[in-house]
Amino acid sequence: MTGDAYVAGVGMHPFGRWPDASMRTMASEAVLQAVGDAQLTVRDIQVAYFANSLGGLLTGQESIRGQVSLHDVGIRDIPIINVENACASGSTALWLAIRAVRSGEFRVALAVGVEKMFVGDTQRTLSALQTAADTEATAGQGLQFVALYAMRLEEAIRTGALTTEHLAKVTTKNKRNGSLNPYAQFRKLMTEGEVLAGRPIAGPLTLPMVSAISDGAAAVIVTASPGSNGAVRVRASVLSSGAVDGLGELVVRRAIALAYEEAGIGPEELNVAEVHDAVSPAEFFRYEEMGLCPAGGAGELFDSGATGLSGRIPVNPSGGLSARGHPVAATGLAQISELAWQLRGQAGARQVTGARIAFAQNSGGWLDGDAAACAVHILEATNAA
Amino acid sequence: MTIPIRRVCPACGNQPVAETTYGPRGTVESWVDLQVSTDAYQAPYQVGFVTLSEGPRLFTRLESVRSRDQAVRLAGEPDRDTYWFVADPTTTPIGGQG
Repeated sequence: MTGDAYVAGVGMHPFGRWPDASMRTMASEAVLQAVGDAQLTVRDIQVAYFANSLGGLLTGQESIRGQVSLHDVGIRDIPIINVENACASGSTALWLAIRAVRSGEFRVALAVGVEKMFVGDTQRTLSALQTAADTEATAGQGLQFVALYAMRLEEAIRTGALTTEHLAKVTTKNKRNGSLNPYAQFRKLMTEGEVLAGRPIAGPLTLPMVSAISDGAAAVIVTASPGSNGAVRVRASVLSSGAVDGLGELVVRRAIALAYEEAGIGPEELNVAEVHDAVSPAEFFRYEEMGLCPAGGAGELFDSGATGLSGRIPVNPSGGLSARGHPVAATGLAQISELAWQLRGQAGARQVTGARIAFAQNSGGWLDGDAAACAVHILEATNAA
Repeated sequence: MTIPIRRVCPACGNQPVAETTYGPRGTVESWVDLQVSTDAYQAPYQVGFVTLSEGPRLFTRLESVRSRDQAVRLAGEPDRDTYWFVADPTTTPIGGQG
């Protein structure tokens, strides 16, 4: 039997375009915030999992990125493990930190994710992102992963499950949430017309719908005891890998099912969710995979207002990837930061009323048409905010 | 395209696996026009899923595709080890709805 684990502190470096920031400075900011939030010091951290995906290609720091980035804040004479799982790197680091604590060997573990994507050459960043696939199979093919989302959405539109208007509306919903989030990269409201008039990317997808290149960091302190700061208990922590040929992200369904089983709850008990919407309309696929609606019912669920900030199960109150920004390895831990704030009643203007159970889903990479990695975490508020 | 040979059957986990030859014909299952260039290709270009006449499905670059169920055949530049599928209007779609 394993012990409990708690999210005792969270912190973020705001997501955005930060020419003067480095992996080191952004990671430092997020870590110090999280440590302070947990009412601990960096000397209390006994093991650190450092998530970064593209730093080797984009900054040249291929090895020991964690040791280099955490040195400044005095994290150096403990085990530091460098973690890479593409866009799911951050949640993978969390999964490891939770296991370090659950095992009983460590009482305080750090998971931190950072990405520095603005390097003065957008094409180089886009090329680096394309390595989140089997490069031996995709070399020279120009296979952009946004195409998979575009094809799934076109199919949903063709069969009448979704409309082009839905694609615009879910994007404006997330931009509106992002406008209330001080850590979000894009804080401007957009109309449906502006979303649809954006630069075409692939099929029905336009630029405002897709997740953006971003700099940023997020950190989470995991502890064996609840502590005093309205701690958040980990009810489920699941990581799995993709293994099938096809259009769907079947690993997402598998990870979600395992998480519900571990937590002993179902979708009807969730109060708030942060999901991986690499393109905002991918949120519709998540509704179905989470069991929030029957197959083909995502558009109807959205139209009912259930996933809006004041709905039954608000999804992506932070703004999601298209509004908050998507510094690859930081995203999974930004989701956890947002949910911790939500469960503690500290989410300000985007606070979901009375949230007790929170759900996070983070995918990374592509293999055979499936996500290569997927982590799902379920968190619970342990005392009233 | 290159499909790395697998050592173990992904369905049943058994060894050994046998090599076989597929193609050159297939049918477009889904496709999309990409409007963003990559290192390899200038936009617009097409990618999608092709079901080969023997059954397996591939994610591949496409050329001149205008509809689902379009018949396609393998094209390529063997010197550059680069392959894709191109619309083949002379052929009746295989397994498609014509």
